[in-house]
Amino acid sequence: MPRGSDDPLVAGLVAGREEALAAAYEQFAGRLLAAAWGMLGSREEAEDAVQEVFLNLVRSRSSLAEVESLQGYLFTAIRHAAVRRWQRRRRDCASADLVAAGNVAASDPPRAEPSGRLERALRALPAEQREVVALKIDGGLTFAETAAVLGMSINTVASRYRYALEKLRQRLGEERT
Amino acid sequence: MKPPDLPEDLKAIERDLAARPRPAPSEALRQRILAAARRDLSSPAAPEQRRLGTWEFALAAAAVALLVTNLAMSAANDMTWSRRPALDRNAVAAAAEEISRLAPQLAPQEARREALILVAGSPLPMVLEVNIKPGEAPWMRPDRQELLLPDATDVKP
Repeated sequence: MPRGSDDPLVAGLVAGREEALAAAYEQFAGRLLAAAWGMLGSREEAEDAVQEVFLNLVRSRSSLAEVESLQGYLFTAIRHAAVRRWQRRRRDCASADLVAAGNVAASDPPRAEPSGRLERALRALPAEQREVVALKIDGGLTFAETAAVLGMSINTVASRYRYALEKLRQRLGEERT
Repeated sequence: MKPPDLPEDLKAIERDLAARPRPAPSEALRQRILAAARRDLSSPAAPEQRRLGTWEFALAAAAVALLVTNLAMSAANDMTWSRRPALDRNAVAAAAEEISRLAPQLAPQEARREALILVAGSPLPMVLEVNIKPGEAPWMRPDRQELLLPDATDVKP
């Protein structure tokens, strides 16, 4: 993959050309949405995260010339957007506990339960394992690319991936029995 | 990186994960994002906020310190720090004598006071217009004449 400054797509984005943004959208939006959905489990939140990533791409376009890999940049951004939503969701859950106790008014609609055994088992994974699966399987990244996005060694990413699959196998086995 | 050597059951789960349906970006999302991006592209780019690096901060601090030192030294150089030398008693006596000769109506103490002021180089005006009555000094403001003129009862003719 060419360096940011050599990539014509990045050069177009830095120059603020709309067609470059459209091309970047066509190239990455599908995989970004799938990865965000894999991490968040909600289509609406995943779409919001993708929109946030592309708008930030436009707003910080002047710094893109420093970026080595546009794909790495975008997947790192979508992961951060997902993490922010996890944190917000955790705060909302704490608020929901208060709502149940009758202390504050309800404001967040209940989240839909995932359908399918595999999906339910996936949602039950710890966040750090789920994000590896989401980036690798849904985002279509290699172990090296996933490691770069997460800022970890490839071995750590590969271990987490394997633990995630083993946990899925265990949960699916438990459901079957 | 060689892919991890997974057992067959884990590979099957991996295949199931890859095969499960995923949401695809809708046309509405595309329109929404591109329209929002178009608005951002058409508006003038906001100046990028940048934090100072360590060296830039050190240089800025050094420049400010230099400026403050320079200003302080300029102010210090404009001030007279040395003490005046002790008064020459002979000069004071001579000046008092001269003042008494020129203005014999002054008491000796007053003449000595004026001589001290004269020799000390004080910028205070010498009060010699003791005989000038209020209204007789047209160069002075009327309200100041009352203040500056000494009490006539102190002055011996």
